[in-house]
Formats: sequence, C-alpha cells, structure tokens
Amino acid sequence: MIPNELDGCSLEIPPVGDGAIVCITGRDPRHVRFALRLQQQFGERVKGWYQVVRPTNVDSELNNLSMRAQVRRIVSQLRHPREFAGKVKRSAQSRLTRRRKGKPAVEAAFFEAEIRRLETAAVVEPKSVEDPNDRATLDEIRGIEPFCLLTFGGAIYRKPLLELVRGLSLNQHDGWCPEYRGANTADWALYHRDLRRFGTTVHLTTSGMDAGPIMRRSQPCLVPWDSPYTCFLRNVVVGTELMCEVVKDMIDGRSMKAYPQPESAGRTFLYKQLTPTVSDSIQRDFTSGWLGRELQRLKGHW
Amino acid sequence: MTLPPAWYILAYHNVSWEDNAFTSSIGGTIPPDVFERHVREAQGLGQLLPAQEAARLYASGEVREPMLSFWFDDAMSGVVDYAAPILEEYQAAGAVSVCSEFTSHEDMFWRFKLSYLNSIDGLRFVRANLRPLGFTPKMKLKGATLDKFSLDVVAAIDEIYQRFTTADQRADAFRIFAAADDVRSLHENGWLLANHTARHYPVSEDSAIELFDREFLECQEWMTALLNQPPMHWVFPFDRVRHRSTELSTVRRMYPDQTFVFVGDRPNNPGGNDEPNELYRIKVRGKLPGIAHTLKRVAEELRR
Repeated sequence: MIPNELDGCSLEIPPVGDGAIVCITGRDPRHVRFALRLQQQFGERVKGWYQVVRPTNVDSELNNLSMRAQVRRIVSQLRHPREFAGKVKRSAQSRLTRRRKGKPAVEAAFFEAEIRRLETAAVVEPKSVEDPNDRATLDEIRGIEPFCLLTFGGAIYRKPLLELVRGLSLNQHDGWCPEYRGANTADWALYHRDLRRFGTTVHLTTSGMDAGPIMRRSQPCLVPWDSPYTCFLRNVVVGTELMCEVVKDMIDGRSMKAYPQPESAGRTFLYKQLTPTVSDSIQRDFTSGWLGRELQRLKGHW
Repeated sequence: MTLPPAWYILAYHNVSWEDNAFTSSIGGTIPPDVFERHVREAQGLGQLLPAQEAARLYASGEVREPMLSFWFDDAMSGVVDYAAPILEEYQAAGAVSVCSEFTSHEDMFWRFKLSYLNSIDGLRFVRANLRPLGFTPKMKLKGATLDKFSLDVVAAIDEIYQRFTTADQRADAFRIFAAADDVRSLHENGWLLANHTARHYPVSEDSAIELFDREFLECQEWMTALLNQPPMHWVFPFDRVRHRSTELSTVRRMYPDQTFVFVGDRPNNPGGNDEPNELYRIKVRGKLPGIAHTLKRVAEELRR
C-alpha cells in the first residue's frame, strides 16, 4: 500500500536498459530469502549479491581456543587498545542479546522449506564483504552499473555507494515509517501494543537511518499463536514482497511516486534501547494471550 | 479421524503474507505457511482432488471415499501468488469465485472500503452518513450494513471512501485483487472458475434479492468474454443461512443450468443435498492452526 497520510511526489526514472540489480543483505535466513526471492522474480537481472559479514567480537574469537591460547590472544590484542575496545563493546552487546537464544533456530525453520525452493532459481552466489562502502566493493559494483540497489539489513550505506546507482536505491525496513525507524522496530511496535503500525516499509535509501521517501508500506498477516519473533519474521516476508512489487513497477516503466517522510514525525530507535525489561514486557503480553485478543478486537469491534 | 465418503469443499478467501488496512478488519486472510499446513492435513484426511475433477465425479455420483477440494472467494491476488503454487505441488487445483468489478479493477469491494475507513477512524463519518437510512449510533456497522443493506448504504460508504482517499490510493488498493490475466491463467491451469456476482452484494437475502439477476448476469457476461466459456457455478456472496430470502428458490429456478454454491458448512453427498444443482462448502476458520477440528465437527453432524 502507499501511505495514506503523506503527500507523494513523482519520480523520474531513467530508461531501464538491462535493469541490472545489485542486492546487499545480512547473512541470516531472512536475508537469504530476500536475495533469493529477488532472483526468482527478476532472474538474470540480478547481477550481484553482497552479504555483509559483521566483524568478529571477542567472544566468538575466543570460544574455540584453549585457555593458554585465549590468554595469549588477549595479551596480543591489548597492543591495539582501540580495536580491542571495539571488540569488547561488541561482546557486551552480544551478551545483552543472548536473550535472542533460540531465535536462529526458529528463523531457520520458518524459512527452510522456502529457501530450498527458491535456491533452484538462484542466478548469483553471495559474496561476503565486511563493509559495502569500501573501495574494492565500490569498484566492483561500479563495474556492474546497477540500475537498482536493493538493501536489507547489513550496514549503513554511504553516498559514494548510492551514487553508483542509475535508477533507484531501495531499502527494506522492518518497521512502520515514519513512526518506527531504526533498530528492533517490530519489537517496539509490539511493546507499544501498536498492532495497527506493526508493519514494514520499502523506502528510497538515503544516508539517514530509514529516513528516505516511502515507496510502499504494509502489514503482515499474523495468527493468534505467533510469538514476537514469528510476528517479526512474517513482517519481513511482507517487506520482501513489497520490494519485489516496487522493482517490478520500476522495470515495467510504470509511473512511480515516493512519499517523503516528515522530518519532525516519528522516532528512531537505537539498538541499545531494547533492554531486557522491554523484551520481558513484550513476552509477558504474548504469554497472557494479548495477540489473539487484539487481533480479534481489531477485526470485530466496529 | 476418518471422514465419511462425501465431497468436502473447504472455503477460504485470501492466502497471503500481507493483511493490510483493506482486509484486516474483515478477516479471511491466512498466511501461506498456515495454509500449507491445512493442505497437508487435508491430504491425510481424504483424497485431495482438483475442484474440476471432484465436480465431475460428484455429478456422476462416483463418491466412494472422502474427497477434499479448496475453494477461494473473491479472487484475491494471494490466491494466485501463494495458494496456487502450494496446491500445484499437491496436484489439487482449486476453485475461485470471481467478482467481475473487483477483478476488472473497476469498483472496490464495499466491505473493504469499510475496513479501510475503520483503520483511519473514518467510520464516524460513515455513521453520520447512515443515520438518515435508519442506522443508530449503537449499531455495529460490520453487521448492520449487511442487515440493513441497500444501494443507498453502499453509496453512503463510497462517499466517505472517496473523501478520505486519493485517486492514487484507490488505484493502488486494487493490488489486493487478482487481475483479469491472472484469473485467466488459473483457468488455463485447470482451476474451476465461478461467478460470484459483479459487486458482492448479498443477493441471496431479502435486502438485495431484486439485484440477483443484474449482479449474476453482469459477472456472467464479463467472465464469458474473459474465458470464452460461461462459468457454470454461481456462488452466493455472504450466504448467511438465517438471512436467506424466501424468494431465493423461485429466483434460482429461472437458471436451471447453473449450479448454485452455498457455504452451509456441510459436505456434499450425491443425492443428499437439498437440490441436485447445488453445492455446499465448509468455511475454514483461518485463525485456527488446522482444519481437523472443523472437519471433525462437520463429519459428526453428517453421521447424525
């Protein structure tokens, strides 16, 4: 759907030509589904798929080492204090999100069958990059001369990268813009019991976080027995389908409008703001059957 | 659980990952993963058959085991995008009931307009518009607009819908319906296509029975032009059993060649249906994890 409360402006799209598509994603199953679904829909037009690999943190580096090797590694890392501090910070964040335990298995199971089906239509192999804005990656993408750059998860995309695109750069954001921008927005919508704004947005990519003009926005079909995480995964799937719609419209040469987000509206949530207190609160709602009651209420009481 | 031999037609509306403002207040959408679970479950309960083939077997009285088929009303785009590929894997092409005005993207379903207006708090204006038509503030619009249906009610809803949407939004909203080409491709892939009237008015109820001919014939003409053959099945919109018009049987007799399709929540037995040219379907509660419970209830009623 297009946003009902925002004013749209027409987009000038250059001739599509071969309409080369480059996608940049994270590495989780939902990101893999995103890239494979695009390949299923647009086939050979997809010329590049870059997976952003997060830098390692202290925990994951040390996990597989013996005690002596661990001590030696730490001592050696102390020679580069700034780098070491970064790794410690990432480890702390990782510990905070240990509450996500079990989620990778849920996600893998949720997408497993579909990914297997979609893999049969794959046309490109993913390539791992640490930073999609680095010079080598930029040179490679420049060689593709992309018409579309489609991003989902992964990183912050800087101007030099976005300027390589002839047509549009689009990002899939798992939150309802402009109200929910930033990180963990599905969780925040659930925390606020805001099911009407539990949704996903496809927007033009800008250097601001989820701040670009909106192309499409919609909500997932939830079921009463969903967990907060399966709600999130359903939301992700809708976002990817919306992305396919927008790109198809663009390639088919349909007239397109974008809906700029008002600068003063909404909120940008930061990763660190999702504390265990917030997560526990969402979980309590779900344990008490809130979702089923709320879905029923939205459907029935009018 | 074993089902008695009969043709069980499972009735759905939309299968989609998306449930947006136009559909969410009405219900009837289930996600593809849940639908796939239903299909797997159905496979264990009887023989999954394409609706066309099951209709042929049923017409010739050859129902020796439980046969199950899937039927989708309103021709939503999710049926083409998600349900059809799933059913193809099980070689069980379904049936789809088409409303010509929705599929030709001419008119939005009036219930979906209400759903959308509900999402933006526009129902207060609809209520104000409906007051001269006898609606009171205490009435729930969802049921009352059906109970007191008239073309004036539809016009009152449309006026507010036009006021609160732009031309772009109205055009974009049609993406929830399959396009004419999609419907034709379903037909070419062995789906049974049925006439569901032009605009989904409650033509089986007293409030709209006078629109019966106009609505079915308009859709019939459109579908005949699209498919190069007239649809043989006419599906009643809403089909609220307790609200069926007493004139319905008289009106139906004017169309002896058509098969009329109800909900009815019962399976089809050769010789067991009230009239030979009618079919019943079992409404699946989409927000239940499986269909076994629904079918168990239907089977128990059948045994009784």
